[in-house]
Amino acid sequence: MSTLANIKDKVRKLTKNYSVTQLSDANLLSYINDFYLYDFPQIVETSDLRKNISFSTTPYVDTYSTTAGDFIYNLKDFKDFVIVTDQPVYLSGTQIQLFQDPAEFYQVYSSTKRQGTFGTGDGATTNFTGTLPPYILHNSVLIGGLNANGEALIAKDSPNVDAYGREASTGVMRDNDNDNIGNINYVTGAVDITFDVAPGNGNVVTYEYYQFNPTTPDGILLFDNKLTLRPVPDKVYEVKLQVRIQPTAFVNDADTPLIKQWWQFIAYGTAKKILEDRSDLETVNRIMPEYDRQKIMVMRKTRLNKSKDRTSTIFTHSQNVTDTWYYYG
Amino acid sequence: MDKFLIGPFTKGLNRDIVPFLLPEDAFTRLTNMRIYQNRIIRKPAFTLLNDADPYGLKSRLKVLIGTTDAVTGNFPINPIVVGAVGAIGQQFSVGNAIFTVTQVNGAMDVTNGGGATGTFNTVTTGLSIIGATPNTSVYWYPCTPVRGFAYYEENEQEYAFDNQWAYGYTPEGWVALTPLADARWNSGIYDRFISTSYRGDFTSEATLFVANGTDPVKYYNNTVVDFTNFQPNTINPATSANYHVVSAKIVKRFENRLFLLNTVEDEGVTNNVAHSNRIRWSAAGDALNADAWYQPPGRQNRGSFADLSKGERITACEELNGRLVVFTENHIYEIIPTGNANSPFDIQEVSGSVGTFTSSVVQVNNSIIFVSPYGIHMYDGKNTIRIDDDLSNAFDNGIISFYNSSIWHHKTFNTVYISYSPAFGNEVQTAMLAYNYKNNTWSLFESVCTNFGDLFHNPAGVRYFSKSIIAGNQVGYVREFNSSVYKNGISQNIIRMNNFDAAHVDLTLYNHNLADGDVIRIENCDIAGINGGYLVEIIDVNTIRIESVINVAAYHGDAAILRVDRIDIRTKEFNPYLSKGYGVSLSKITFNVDRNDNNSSYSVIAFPNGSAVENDTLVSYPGSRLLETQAYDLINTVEATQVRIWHDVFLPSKSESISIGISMDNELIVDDAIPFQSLSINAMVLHTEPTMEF
Repeated sequence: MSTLANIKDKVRKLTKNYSVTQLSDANLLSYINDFYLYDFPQIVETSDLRKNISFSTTPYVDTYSTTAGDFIYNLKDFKDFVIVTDQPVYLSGTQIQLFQDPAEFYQVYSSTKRQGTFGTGDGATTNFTGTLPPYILHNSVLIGGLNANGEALIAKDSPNVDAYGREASTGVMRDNDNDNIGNINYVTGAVDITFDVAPGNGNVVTYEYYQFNPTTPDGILLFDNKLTLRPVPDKVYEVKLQVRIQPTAFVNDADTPLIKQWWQFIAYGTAKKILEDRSDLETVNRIMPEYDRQKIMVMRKTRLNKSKDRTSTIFTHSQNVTDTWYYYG
Repeated sequence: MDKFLIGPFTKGLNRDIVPFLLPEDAFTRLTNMRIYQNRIIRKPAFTLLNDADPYGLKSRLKVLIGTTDAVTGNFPINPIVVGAVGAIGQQFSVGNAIFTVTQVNGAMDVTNGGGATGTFNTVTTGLSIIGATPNTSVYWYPCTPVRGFAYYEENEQEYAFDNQWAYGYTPEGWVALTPLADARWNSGIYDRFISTSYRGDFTSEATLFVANGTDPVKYYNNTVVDFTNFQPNTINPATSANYHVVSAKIVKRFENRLFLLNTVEDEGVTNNVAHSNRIRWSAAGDALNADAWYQPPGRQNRGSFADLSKGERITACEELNGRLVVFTENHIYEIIPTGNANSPFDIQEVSGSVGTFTSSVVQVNNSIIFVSPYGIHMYDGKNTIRIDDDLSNAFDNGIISFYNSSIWHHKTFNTVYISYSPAFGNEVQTAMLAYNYKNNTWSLFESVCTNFGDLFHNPAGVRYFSKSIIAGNQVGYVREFNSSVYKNGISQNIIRMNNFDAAHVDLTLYNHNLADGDVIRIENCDIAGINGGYLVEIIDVNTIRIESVINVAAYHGDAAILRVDRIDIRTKEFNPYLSKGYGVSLSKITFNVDRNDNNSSYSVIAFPNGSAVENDTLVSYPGSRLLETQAYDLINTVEATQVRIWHDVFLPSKSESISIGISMDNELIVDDAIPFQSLSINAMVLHTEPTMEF
């Protein structure tokens, strides 16, 4: 009784769109999923939508994209899938600090780029090779100089990414046109670049990059749909985040909501969207009382469970056992 | 959200006022629909006369030319009938076998022949049928236009006429009267067969008179049992030879006398003198008496004549309130009985400004409705008024014209039908106005016919409780106006089918009178997949093209077409807030319709400000904008018991004014069942809000 088919029937009756000629099944399903995926999690903060997601770090790789890769499946479409990340993050069981402001993050983990000379141009040679001191932070290498006309020659690193979205230990060097002009090995530091135009005679070709000391990370930045760890991990760690997620979209008529009890509220919410699109505010007003009642019932379980929790303070979990007096925070 | 009820519907088609100022229940288009009992319902269909005759053999004019051999089933004959004219497209039947002429001289296509074959020479009209059913009647279908109908009250017998023969209605269909040579007319494309049953002083003198303006007037009764020339002497031949009526355009019974109007007469040494303004009448009593038409001064108290003063051609006449109203091209006269045997009638001119060019006049409830070159008028015995004001703009602009029109009265529906040819020179009338005189509403029907008549008997010969209206068409079909059916019967046989290319098939249909965009159905064809609905593309007057991938090389003449009536309703341009200077936002329309057990769907489209382009304020509608008349499955237990149901159609639109179009789109109109369901729109409710000021 709580299936997608039931939801559809109820929506049709509430909106008086009894026939597919008035509202096609495809459009109706689109409305239902719009409400269920995007509106519902924002309207009701239910604990049933909380979930732990985790991923594994790659040695010497600090940044993890949330928009690509099957191996970091749980991070795919992170920006749409995850509603809230307001809970602690754990690295191999140890809580680490979660940052959402880059300014704050990089103030804590500030670093200065290492700079040096990569070579000197002679007006003819376009190929330059060398070895940079380890450890080279991905996406931080910049090698450049001037050609005979005084125009900039620039090469930036771009890590190779495997089919699963993982950054590899090698990468390519790209110029300003994003053309591949060389290679880099982040582990050995070997760099091989061939400029389109030779640096001018006597012009110095310089490099700069972030050098790091790999160790256990104790901070993580969530920004621009990426997760960045500091310090850079020296090995494989498990990172676990507790997030509030988006429900799974309905597909088949036999599908049910995550919690079956939600089906009526989903129907009312969907009906409200349809009626608003039709400018039928009169009917919206008529169904609002029941809509509100269903919303309260959806939230009731979460509220009842939370009502048993003590309000969290610094004393919530403290305990003094050194004296005959036992203090329990 | 404001709600506005549109209904009951008391106005019909109106092209006279700008659409946004029309009354709420008026329409700028009302095609193949009509206003009846304050609701919008479908035009009735023209169906075959016999439901058990899918090939329409009993609904067509046909000539019995003989019987097949009792042993071999062969039938050789040359010519088929003396004076017959052969043509491609004609057909022959022997029982259920049908032979179609597809070439000037050679083999015919055979349907249901059971192995029979046939050849026909259209030049000599030599026919040879081999191996058909033995001892079976052979019929020839000339496929010529039906030119008129008549009804002989004495025998309760219906007759139809083409340009050559008279056909009597029998359980076998419309069969030419024999002997064929005697029942011969030579009418032209604009000749109308006008008939009257005249009963003289005695029952034995009940006679049917028929005139067409070209041939001699003919009469038929149980004494002559054949249509016989009637050319009465106007002066005693003993005193003056060769004075008689040669022909007349109109024959009419009035005041116990027979009238001949618009005559051609022999006058002594001068033959065929045309008197287009002459009214001639017989003596009271038996019009067949030798002296019944003798005129003064040679004979008093018998027949006489009068010539209308203006000299105009007499075109029509009808009886009204005890007077005979005579129409010329631009005048109307009344023939008034005086009671004086020596001078039995007075003639008065009652209108000097309007008349009729055609024979299109009909009596309706103490008035006469007639078609003039300037519009449609009504004469009530005192005044002549124009009744097509609602259409006057279209009439004046030539959108509607009245060349070659016919008019007929459908008493049951309180409706007068006026069919017409949009173009001069075409004998076939391809459009019809329907005027409901009870509620003074107009609508437009699409139909192809040549004229109307009445049918008094069913196919078994049993008399109807009330007469039925029939119409003939350009290829000899006679079909019946059937108010309970919405699928037309077949109206023309397909002579040939050819694959034009991989996606199109050409159909040869002589003188089809179809137009681009018309919708037809092919029926009775045994080529798999070809039967069905199609949009028509006109190639020429005898050829149309349809979209089909079916290989039709095996076609052998069995198929026919029927025309599918396309519903086209366009309301006025609505804006309930017009007087306040606001635009209108339309959210949905709720229709009240009669529930239909069979699925029927109609496209509902919003048009802004008279535009021909649909108003679509959203990227796409969430539904398909269809009005369905079947109970919804979701609430079937409620709706399935209702006679009338309210159904919403969501079509969000926004403009200064919005007109609503109801029709069937190209996908619906070719469906096998949807186009043929009943539709009754009883009311509409518009759900609107005002928008920004103009």
